[in-house]
Amino acid sequence: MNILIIEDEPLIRRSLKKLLEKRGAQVDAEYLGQEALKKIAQIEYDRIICDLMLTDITGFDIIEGSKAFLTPEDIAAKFIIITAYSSNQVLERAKKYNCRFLQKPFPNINDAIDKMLE
Amino acid sequence: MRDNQLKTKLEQHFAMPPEHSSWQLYSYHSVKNILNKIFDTNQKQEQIIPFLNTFKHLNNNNSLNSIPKIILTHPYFKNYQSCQLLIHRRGEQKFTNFFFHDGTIAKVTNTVSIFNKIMSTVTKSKYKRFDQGQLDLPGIEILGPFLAYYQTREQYSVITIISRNGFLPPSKEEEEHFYQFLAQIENYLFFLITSHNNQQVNILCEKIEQILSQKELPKNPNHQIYHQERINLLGDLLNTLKHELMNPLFGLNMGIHLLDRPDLEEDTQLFIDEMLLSINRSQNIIDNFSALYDSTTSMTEINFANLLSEVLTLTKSETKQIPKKITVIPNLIITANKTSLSQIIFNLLINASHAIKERFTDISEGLITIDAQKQDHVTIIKISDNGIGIPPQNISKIFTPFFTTKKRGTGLGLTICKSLIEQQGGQLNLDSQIDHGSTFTIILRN
Repeated sequence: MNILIIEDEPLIRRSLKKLLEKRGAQVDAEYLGQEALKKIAQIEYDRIICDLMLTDITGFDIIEGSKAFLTPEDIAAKFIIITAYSSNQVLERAKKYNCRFLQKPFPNINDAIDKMLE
Repeated sequence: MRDNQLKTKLEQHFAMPPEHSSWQLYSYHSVKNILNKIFDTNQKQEQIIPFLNTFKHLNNNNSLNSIPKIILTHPYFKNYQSCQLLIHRRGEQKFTNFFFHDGTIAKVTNTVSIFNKIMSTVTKSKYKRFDQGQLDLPGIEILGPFLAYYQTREQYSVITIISRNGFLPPSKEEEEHFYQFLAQIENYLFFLITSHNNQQVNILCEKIEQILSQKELPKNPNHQIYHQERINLLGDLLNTLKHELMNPLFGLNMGIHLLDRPDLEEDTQLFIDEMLLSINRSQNIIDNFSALYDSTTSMTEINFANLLSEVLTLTKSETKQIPKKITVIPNLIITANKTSLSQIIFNLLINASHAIKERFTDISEGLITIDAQKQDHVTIIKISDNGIGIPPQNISKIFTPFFTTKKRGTGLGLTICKSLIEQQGGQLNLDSQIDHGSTFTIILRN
């Protein structure tokens, strides 16, 4: 499985990458949204795990940007939004894209990894 | 009387040019300031009006004469018999001594060297309590131990002396009141001293009366609004803090999970387990504190034992070493506002701790008791301490805003507690005995 992680907290980014690689996935990790979009344009990923609050742009901006390269169905299937901010607004918007949503911190890390690899 | 009319009238009577410094005392705001400095905004009208009337009935030539008598009419000084005002103008060889005792007003003059001796003793003393042993001079007319305070402004210096004329020295509380009072009337006092014509005093009094009659009491006491704003701000701050802390903690959590492998040495494994527990605890603390500061005023069902445990954690640095006895049933559910209740319990625990620390040097002799139970239609929460207790004369004042016997703090804590409880239809009662302790009882409707 080919996975892209977009997360700006270094320890989370590195740990998540390692945990997924241990399960046999091929993982790219980015902390800048712009760089991530470039990768999405060039490489086909099975999963895109995306934090909402990045340094340069938001996760939703990335989803919007991906529309140039991915169909709505792809977006719904590939994107998994991870975030600490779980306000109603955020939930509503995630529903709009029909993609999965995981709350940080993960109550159970193994379950979360399972969900990402489903 | 509008400011302009007042100015004109004064100009007519006293030929005082508008640039004269006394004018600044006549603007509405200045007078209001003087009023606010003299009286607490919450002081009752009954106290203010008689005081004001006394000033109003001053004779034209005797206004300064009357000040000692007027000071003694203030409720703070009802046990006091004599008051003296020593006034010196810079450069003069003599000073004036206004003295009120036993219903008599006297005015004498003495040489400035005496004034200076008195001033020197008064200003150099650490304690503002004196007796004739320290200051046996012709200037001092009173008997027994007395309080003295020195104030100066521009050309004038004033020493105010007050005494019971009795055997007992003034109490610490009376001392405090003395200084507070003199600080409050300072502007007014110097105005009187520097005023050239005493008709101004009557006009000033009229103006004050005018303001008093117009004065509307605020509907929402300022301290309540201030408190609510602080709660809101605190809620926002905690929210931001929560999110900022969450990321690094989560990173730590995952990182440690990665380090966790089946083939680790026992020691290393232990450390890993401890680290994970620490992180878990940190995350819980953040979650719990955030929940405590919910900015809404809604009532919810609260497990009191849990709330108490969270609040105790918050007070840990203050109350850690003080023994506690907690009699709260584990499944006691209270309907209340979580933020308010935690605020109240927090405040009462801190107060209990302070009282104990004031009474005991070895605080392991202290004891804080927390009891909560349901009875019929109410929930009763009692927080007791065996601390220094509250003197009977302060018990009724203790919930009034800005009342405090402590060197630090706003004097608003208990005021806010009481209003938070009353907001929920509850009651806050106090029982206290000096050198024995205090019990605060919260009664909430079910």
